[in-house]
Amino acid sequence: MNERQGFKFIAVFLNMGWFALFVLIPGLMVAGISFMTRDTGRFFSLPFTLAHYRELLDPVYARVLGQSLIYSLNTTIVCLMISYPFAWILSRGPKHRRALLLMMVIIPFWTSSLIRTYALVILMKANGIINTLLIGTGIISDPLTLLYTDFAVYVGLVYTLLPFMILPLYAVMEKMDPRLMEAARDLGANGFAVFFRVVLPLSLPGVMAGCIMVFLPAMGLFYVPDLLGGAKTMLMGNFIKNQFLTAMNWPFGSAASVFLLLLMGAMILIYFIVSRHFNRDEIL
Amino acid sequence: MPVVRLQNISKSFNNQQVIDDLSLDVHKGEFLTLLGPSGCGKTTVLRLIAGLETCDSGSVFIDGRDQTRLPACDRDVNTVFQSYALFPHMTVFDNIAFGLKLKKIPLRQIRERVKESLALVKLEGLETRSIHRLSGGQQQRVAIARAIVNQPLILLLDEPLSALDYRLRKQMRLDLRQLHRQLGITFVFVTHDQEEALTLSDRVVVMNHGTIQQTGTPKDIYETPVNLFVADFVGESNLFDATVIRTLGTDMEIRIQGISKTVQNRRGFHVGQAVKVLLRPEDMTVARIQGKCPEGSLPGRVKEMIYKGTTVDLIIRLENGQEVFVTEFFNEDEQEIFYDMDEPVCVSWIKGWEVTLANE
Repeated sequence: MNERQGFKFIAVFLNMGWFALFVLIPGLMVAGISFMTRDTGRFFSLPFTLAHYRELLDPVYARVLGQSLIYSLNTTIVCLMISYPFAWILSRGPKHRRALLLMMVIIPFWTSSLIRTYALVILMKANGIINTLLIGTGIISDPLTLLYTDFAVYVGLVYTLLPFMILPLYAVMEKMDPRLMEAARDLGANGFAVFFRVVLPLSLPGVMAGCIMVFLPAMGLFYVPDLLGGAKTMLMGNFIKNQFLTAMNWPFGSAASVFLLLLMGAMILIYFIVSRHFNRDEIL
Repeated sequence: MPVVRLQNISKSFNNQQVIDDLSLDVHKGEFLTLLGPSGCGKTTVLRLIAGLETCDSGSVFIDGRDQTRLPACDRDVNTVFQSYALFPHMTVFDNIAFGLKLKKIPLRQIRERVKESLALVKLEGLETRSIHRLSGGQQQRVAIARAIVNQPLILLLDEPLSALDYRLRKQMRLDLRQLHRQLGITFVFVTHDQEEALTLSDRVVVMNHGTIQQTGTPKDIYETPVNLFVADFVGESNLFDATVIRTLGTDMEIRIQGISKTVQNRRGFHVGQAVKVLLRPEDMTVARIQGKCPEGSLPGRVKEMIYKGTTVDLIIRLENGQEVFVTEFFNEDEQEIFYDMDEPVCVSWIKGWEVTLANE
């Protein structure tokens, strides 16, 4: 009994310790630094100030935030449009096909997403695989400009984040009772009405979860615009990275991080409130 | 003109024949039950009428029109599903109003009709209730209300009572009959429970292996089954092997359990033919033995006696070891239906109460 309690204590302690050491303490440090003054020699120093948060409201930075939100939003929409039908086919298919497709969704996770982004660079370069193939087969004569465009950034963002949309959608769709759709058809609903009155409302918790899991990370994936967009595109992630590594303005970068954290926190909070409303109807 | 006509329907799933050249007419306003063991194709027949399945060959006529290829949403037919299939994201009102809203009926009228159908299933005032806060019986009633509110030509019920407990099931049976009378629409009911089929229906269709075995009133099905499957599936029965010894006009003499007995010959059996004699437990009589059994009765001993309040069930072991199940009713005149264990008795029946079938 004592040994078991000892084990329990160690397990909990390890978890909490890990969380404190690598999440809570760095987080608090970032929050603390965001209120301090910039110091070129030592990165930051006293006195405490709110200047960096005021600076964030400057139109120049608001534009970065706005642009970042638009990139995230577009990425989320594209992911949703690809994932919804894919997850649907996945959830309705025969068991062996389901396992195969699910495997194909999950396998990319086994490689670092940074390496996969480099792979996209190799694909989309002027003399990359896509252009070589297209020129080789005679479809085009001059290489297409793929890399270092907005298009490439979106390809990178969507590609990296797609599984985060597919998996929560699949989770809700797989649980959906096909008899509900039959009941709707029986009551006079055509395909359109079955989708909008039954399938879509019932999959909404998955849509919400997927959107959050794509939208939030999309703002921070700084290496995707760096590698694929030629550092022309600024996401919040790039902005924060630049403040720390290039501008050497740690307090300002910290303030931006805290702001992003609060924004994400607010969205997750909204999700919980809405999904609790759904869950009340989902018991059974 | 029948309200539904199924003509030479065949259907298979994954190369397995589920419905085999089945034809069936459903009359307007009747309560028809499809009865059979699980896997006999009865639910598939229902789904074919609903339009949730399409047949491989044959035609489905509804209200005189060929609707074989018409999708479910365009058919004037509604289903009460076995699992109820209520929409979990909607209230009771929204569930029931689902079909009416699709037909773009004005909201005031929808409210009126939802209220009416809730009253019909005795759930007045539950409009705003969430589906999850209903009991199983209530969900069942909402499922029925959701279907009947559309005033369909035909109401299909797929084993709607199987998930309810015994007491609730009995109550729902009465309510369904009453509902059928009140609405006057055609009910097609699917069940594997023979008691349900007999008590509810105007007509029963007994199915096995995707074909119809017998169609008839509950009385026909129970009293004159056309084959051993129907005899065995519907109700309790005692089966005896017998051989025809001689034919005597409308009667015949058979050799059964070592005795000879005269029974009716309704099916033109010929001498020497092996037959099965079917006897319902309540059609047999038991008498205390006085010396030897009288001619035409079978000697045996009481093996088990089960008191059931209104009846006494007896299991009697005949001399050759076959066991017979007999139900005796209490009779004002004769109090003596209690027997001792192992008491010797004679079992008999009145000529004509037996059903004789060809040996299959």
